[in-house]
Amino acid sequence: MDRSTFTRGLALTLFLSITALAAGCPGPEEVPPDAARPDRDAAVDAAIVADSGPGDAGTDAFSPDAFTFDAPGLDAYTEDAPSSDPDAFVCDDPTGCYRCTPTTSEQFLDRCTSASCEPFENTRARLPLLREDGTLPPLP
Amino acid sequence: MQTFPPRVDDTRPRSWPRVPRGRWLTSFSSLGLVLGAVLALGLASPSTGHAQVDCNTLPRTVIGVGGSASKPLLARLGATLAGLPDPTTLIYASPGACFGITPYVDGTPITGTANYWLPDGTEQTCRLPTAGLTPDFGMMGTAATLCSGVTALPAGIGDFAGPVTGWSVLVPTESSQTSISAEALYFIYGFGPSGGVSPWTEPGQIFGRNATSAALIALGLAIGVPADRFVCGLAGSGQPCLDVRSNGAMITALDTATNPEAAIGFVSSEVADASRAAVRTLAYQHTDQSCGYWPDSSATTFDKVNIRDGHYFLWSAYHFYVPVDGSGAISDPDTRRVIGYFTGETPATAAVPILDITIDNGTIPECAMQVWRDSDLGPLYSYAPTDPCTCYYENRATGSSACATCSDTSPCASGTCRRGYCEAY
Repeated sequence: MDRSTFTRGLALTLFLSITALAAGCPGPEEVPPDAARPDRDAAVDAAIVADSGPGDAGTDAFSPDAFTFDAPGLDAYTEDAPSSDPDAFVCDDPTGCYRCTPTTSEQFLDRCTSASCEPFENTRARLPLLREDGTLPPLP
Repeated sequence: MQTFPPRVDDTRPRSWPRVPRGRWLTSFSSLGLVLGAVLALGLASPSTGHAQVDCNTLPRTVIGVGGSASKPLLARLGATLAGLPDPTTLIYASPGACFGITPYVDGTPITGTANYWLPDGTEQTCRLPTAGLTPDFGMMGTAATLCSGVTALPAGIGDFAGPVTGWSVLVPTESSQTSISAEALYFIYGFGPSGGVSPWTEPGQIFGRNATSAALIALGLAIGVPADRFVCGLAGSGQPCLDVRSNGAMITALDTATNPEAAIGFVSSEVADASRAAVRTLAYQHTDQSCGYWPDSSATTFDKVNIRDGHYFLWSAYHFYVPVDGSGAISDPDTRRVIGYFTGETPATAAVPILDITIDNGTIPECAMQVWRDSDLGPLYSYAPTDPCTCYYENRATGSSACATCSDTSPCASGTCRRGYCEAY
């Protein structure tokens, strides 16, 4: 690992930690998630409520402006951020799974887990009738 | 009727959302004719070779009709009830899920034959009255209003939520395939072999059901193919997908497929679990999901963890459709007692351990779920049952649990002692 990579990683880790703490986020969910621990939802629900409150410090920390934070090594990460959704910034694992407590079907389906999975490539090579834009054609 | 225990902000009732009552429907003639024909021909429940008795001569009968997905679960309960000192005979005809509502909608009586079970689990066949009868309950893996021509429940019929079943997409064990996506299934069952999804492109190797099947309805909801748009039909219909007519027949069709690599079908996960020597469940990747998951944590386990925590999209809770009185209670006492085992109204006993019966069948009790949905294949939300049984479920289903054990003399360090395990609360 070269020095610049190390510095960038360190800065990114520091930034994520500060952001999570400031926002009152419970942090990434354990992997595997403890399915028998329903209080996790209450905890995160509370965090979400707190996060959405007016004037809440966490809300400020999660503002899109945070992504322009001028810290060494953050430029690349800012460019890679998938959207301006601050939750996505913290909760989307680099492997593609969702690290926080899910609240939507999509988040439940992609929540990080220790369960085995097997991807199916929805490409035109595998699905030749897919439209060029990847959408499905109408049924015949 | 049991109500859903609330999650933090959830006060939705456990009974299914009730559709408007007060009017009988008028356009069920075609479904009724099919039901009558199927049952009159005795196709609903083939004879097992024993001399058939009249169903109404059996002791203390409770007679149901509906889909074949739930037949193994009813068989287990039926055998248990038959072995009680004061036995109840649970009788079930399984011509298809949507026939679980038809008798109440258009008054079509059920005729032909049905099955019941001896205390040792042996399946028996009995004759229904020639004039037919109105069943005590209907049982379906999806809502009645998803059946063709059924837009509302008739007055006097209650909708009671039962345990959860998964729906499995299957290939023969000889197949090399391991996963499938909603998009791929859209092409396979909406277009047939011409959908071009390799290796499922060979006519005669795509197996399905008809629009009265809960498995088909559920899968269709997930993949965006309406039940009446599946390209499935009976042999000789010219349709590229063969309607095999029952969950059990699907296993046989896949097991005997002439080209196992090109063969594909679907059944309830309970039926799939009982047939793992013949068929293999594919990991299912729902729309926008990044990976495909099995109902269980892997292809070889039985923990149903991905259904219970929301990674596996293909599941629904069984519906019981039962005549009710003015207060919404099930009218017939014996039927109320039997259905009550599933809804929680009838307490489990050592003689009728309904939780064990349900888990052993591969069906998931509500108390082991961490997600729920208010409509079949609808959006998921976090769910906290009032009397959780996750630890008990895992131990019963897999033979082990990471939870601490407990008793009256050995309390939990944290959580609540339930059924011998320290549940989270």
